[in-house]
Parts: sequence; structure tokens; C-alpha cells
Amino acid sequence: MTRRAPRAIAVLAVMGIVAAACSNNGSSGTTPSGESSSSAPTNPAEITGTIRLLSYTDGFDPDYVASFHKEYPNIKLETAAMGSNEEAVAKLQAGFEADVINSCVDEATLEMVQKGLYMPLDTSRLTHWNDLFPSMKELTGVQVDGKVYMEPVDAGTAGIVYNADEVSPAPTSWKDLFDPRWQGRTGLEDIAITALMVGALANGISDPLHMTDDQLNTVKQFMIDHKSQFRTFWKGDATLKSLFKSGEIVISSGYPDNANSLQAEGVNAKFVVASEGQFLWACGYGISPNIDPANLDAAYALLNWYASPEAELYEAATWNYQVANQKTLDIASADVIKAASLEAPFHLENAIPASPPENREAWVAAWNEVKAS
Amino acid sequence: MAQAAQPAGLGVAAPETVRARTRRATNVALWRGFLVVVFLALFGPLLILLLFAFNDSNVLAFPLEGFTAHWFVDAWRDTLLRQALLNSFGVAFVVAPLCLVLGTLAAFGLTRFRFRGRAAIGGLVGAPLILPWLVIGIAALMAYGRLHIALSLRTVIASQTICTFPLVTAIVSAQLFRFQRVQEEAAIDLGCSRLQVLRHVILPHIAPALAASAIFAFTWSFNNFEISFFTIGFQQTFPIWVYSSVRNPDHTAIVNAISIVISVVQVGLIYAALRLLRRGGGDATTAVIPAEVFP
Repeated sequence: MTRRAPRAIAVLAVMGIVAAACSNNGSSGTTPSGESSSSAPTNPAEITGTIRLLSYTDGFDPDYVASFHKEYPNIKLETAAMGSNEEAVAKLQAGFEADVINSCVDEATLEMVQKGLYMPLDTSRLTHWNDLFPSMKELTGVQVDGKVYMEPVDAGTAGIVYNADEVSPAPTSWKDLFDPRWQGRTGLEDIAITALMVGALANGISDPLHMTDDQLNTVKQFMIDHKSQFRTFWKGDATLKSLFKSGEIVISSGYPDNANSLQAEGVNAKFVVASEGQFLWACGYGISPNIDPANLDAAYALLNWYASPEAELYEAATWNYQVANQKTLDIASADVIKAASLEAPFHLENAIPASPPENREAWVAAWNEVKAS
Repeated sequence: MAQAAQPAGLGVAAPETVRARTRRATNVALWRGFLVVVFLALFGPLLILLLFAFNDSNVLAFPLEGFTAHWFVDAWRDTLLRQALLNSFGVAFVVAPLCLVLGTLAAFGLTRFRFRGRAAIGGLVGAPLILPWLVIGIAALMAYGRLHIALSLRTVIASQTICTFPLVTAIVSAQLFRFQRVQEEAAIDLGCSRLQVLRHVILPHIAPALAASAIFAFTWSFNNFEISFFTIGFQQTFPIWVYSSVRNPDHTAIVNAISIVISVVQVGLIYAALRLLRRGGGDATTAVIPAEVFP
């Protein structure tokens, strides 16, 4: 789950201040025509250009994009990794230029649209658009004011990962992360939204994404009071695996593939959905309004490749991500369909939508206070 | 020393001597313990890295799974890593000589000449040593953006040079301050030209500082993350590759393996630099001018 990678808080704090002060607000950038181009080449080998891709690292994993290079031999892909969407937004606003940008709707897709970092997409050039799950198309930021800005590609759920040899009976609620039996042996992902939603749900707040300021303060204080419950606020899957394998933690927030990879390491790890709700995330790709028009065909080709059933299948089989393209089910094995829950993304029971809270900055500030306490 | 202080002729150690010995032994033990703690704090993480670089698992956790060296092979086969290393070496090999030239010139200017604004210029030169590199990196990114300069390894080199040459200035200046100018005057009195003074009197004196500076500049550049992260385009340097890879559980062991190789090389380089600096500190009062210099 590299996509759900941690944020470098210190980096972002400085970047946020500087970028906010010096933002060029992107919206004034010239927008190359994203409208339908009758001369757009249809033969992949005829499409040429250089695409500068800013993405989470899994977006350009060499094994993953190998089929892209094979299909589009004349498109050069230059890649840069982001640590988080916030980092990407700050970097782009500070002057970093990219042609295709990865974002997650629960993080900053809408923010990127509002800040002019995405151009409207011409859906007639998105060859798989009509094959996408409707629920994916309705995600926050994918469409704004009737225009499509991002092609959703993958999604997933977050719940509770636990060591079944240590934690018995199996956890059922986010409250189990605050069980005194696991004091000092609990983990929590160091993402403000995730962490505070866990705290909110454990406090009986049923609609955590729309917490009032008072509720947010209550949750913040609750987390401060229970800080000793946590061994650490982990960042990145590698850390989580180490913490579980070394026995430092026995229960944590996490993702289905965390449990799978831990089982491969000999840890009897399980993933369970909390009764109060499971968090959803979804990510995709959009095109910068500042793209050189000569590279627009290549950019659309990349978006089309990401949403193709073959590329989607790789994600489902390798990372257990849910996928946006319904036709992936036609080529996926029953095991992959089950492991990655491909049948009905975002129609899951007790799902909390992949969407950032409106007062996101207040959440980030509150979480920083918890960590500093 | 306690024994040396004993009155001559006394065959049996006085009770005070025993206490002094005990005290001395205690002090030595304490100092050794302190040193062990310091060394563990300094090199403990490196030792852990070393341990897990040979562990047959990509998870950083005990118990160890067995001995293997295949992470080093995997690291060597990783094309992205190889390219990142090449980029880092390329950048560092350009930045170090540039810093050496700029830093040495600045050191000469600041230590040898008295001019209006000298203090201010000295402050400006030294500012990158005080300012957080994170801020410098973001500021550089914004500057390049406003000037429409495409980000690349060249922008990394330019930004790193600005932040690294003050280190050379500081090291060379310290050496120049210790240099007794009477040697220059003596050489000129003996008929040396300015260039000959530079070649035969000054350069030999500051050569160890220059060599050490070059090594420090190289390692600073190679290790730099903050500035590179913001000023690089769509390439990767080694620290950026580590940043991108370390969160991926499949890459953890490879990061350990290559990091231990890089760390060992760099510790060796730093040790060499310190040796050079120590050598340079011993002979600030004499200069040997070859006889053929004089007509």
C-alpha cells in the first residue's frame, strides 16, 4: 500500500507555509485543448511524446509499467515520486512541472482541481471511461461542475490488522485499538484523517468526516489522553511489517494487503472490518493544464493504459487493490476477484466514503497537536 | 603520575596512592563507558543496518532469518538504483570541484583583503550553512519556476554548489588564518613572484584543507536530500531513491544493503578527510621553496 504512504510532516509544514505564501494559484495557467482531437492517432506505436509523471511510487513500478512501454514504445516516461498528495500540491504550486499527476480523492483530488492543477478531460478520449464502475465516477473531485478532471484507477479499504495469535477474541470495533490489554502494543497509521477518524468512530461519532469543531477537539483530546496506548504512529508498510513481526505491536489500523504480506512472513495476521465502518480510498490520474500540447496524445494514452483491464488486473493481483474498470472482472481469476474485492467497489457495507473533510487543515493541525503532546 | 609524585625512597605505597589509583581506574572506566555509549549512538544504527543487510528477510525485525548476500546482488541489478547512484556520483563529481574553486576564492577574499562590506559578504557566504536546506530547496524550486528554468540535474548542481561552497570557505579560511604571512613576505624578499608564492608557499600549506574540503563537499553533495528533492526534475539521486523506496516493504532489504556499502565508503572518506586536516595543522610556520624557483 505504497500509495497510502506517509507524509513527511516537517517537510509539509514548511512547504505549506511557503507554498501558501507564494502560490501562483495555478488556475491562471493556459489550458491546452483537452477537447476531442480528430487527428488523434489510434495506433499506439504512432503516439509519440514525453510524459512527466508525478505519482506515488507504485504508479511507475517497473514491473507494472512494463506493459505500457511495450504497448507504447514511442512514449518516453519520466517519473518523479511523491510522498503524499499534500507534498505534491505544495511542490506543484511552488513551480514543479508535471504532465500527468496522480492523486487520491480522499486526499487532495478536489484541492488539485480547485487549484487549477488538473485540466478538464475529454471523456471521448478516455477509451475505458464507459467501462468504469459508476460509483468510481461519482467520487469527490473526479467530476466538478459537470467536467471530468481525473480518471479513477484504483481503490481500497482500511480496517484493523491484528496478530491472531495474540489478540483474542478477534477485534470487531475501532474501540479495540484502545483496549488497555494492548497498551503500548498498538499501532496507528500516521495520517491525520485516518487517525482522527479512528478516534472519532471509537468515540461514537457516526459521521466523522463532518465533525464539528467541538467534536474535533473532543477527539483530539481523546487521542492525547490515550497516546500511551500506541507503540508508534507508523509510516509506510515496511515499518508496519517490522513492528508486527518483531512483536512490538499486535493490533493496528491497516490494509488487507498488510495482513497478506505479514502472513507470508509467518505472522498470523488477519484483517477485519470495524463495525463502525471501514475507510475507503481511491486514486487516479489527471493531466496538467500546462502540458505541452504535443504531448497530449501521450498523456491520454497513459491514462487509457492505467484504466485498461490488463493494467488494472496487475494492481488487483499484485497489491490487492480494487479497480475502477468493470471489465477487469472478465479476465481476473476467482481468487483475485475475492482477494481484491473486485465485484463492487464502494458498495461495501459500513463504508465511509473516500472524501476529505471540509475543514481538512483543522484536522491536520489537530493531529499534529496529538503527536506533539 | 601519582607514583611520580611520591617522595623518593618510600618502598610502600601510601594509602593516598591507592585511593588515587582507584580514582584513576574509576575515571578511566567511566570515560571508556562514555565512549562506548557515544560510539553505540553514532554507529549503532549502522551496525543494525549491517546486520539486516545480510538477513534473509526483507523485514527489519528479530529474530534474524538466516545469512544471505543476495540483497547486494538485487541492489546491483536494480536499474533505477544504478541510475540514481550514477546521478549522485555525477552531481557530486561536478559539485565538489566547483565548490573547491568558489570556496577557496571566497576564503582568500575574506581572509586576505580588507574592504567595505567584507563582514556582510562573509555573512552572506556563510548563510547557507545556517539556513535550513529545506527552505533553500523550496526557495530554489520557486525561483526556477518563476524563471522558467526546467528542473534537471543541472539545477541540482547549481543549488547544491551554492549551499556547499561555504563549507569549503570555512575550512580553507581556518587554515589561512593560521598561516603566517611572514612566510609570504620572506618568499617575496627572496625573489619569488606572486604566483610562485601561491604555488610553493601557500598551496602546500592549505593543500590538506583543500583535499579535506573536497571530500566533505563530495559527501555533502552525494548525501543531500532536501535540496535535491526540490530542485531535481524527473531523475533520481541516491537519497531520493532511498526516500522513494524505503516505504516499499519489498525494497527495505535492498535499501539496507546499498546503504551499508555507501556508508562504509563514506566513513572511509570522512576518516581520510580528518586525517588530511590533522596533517595540515602541524606545519603552519615553515615553508620549503625549491631551489630552482630562485633565479
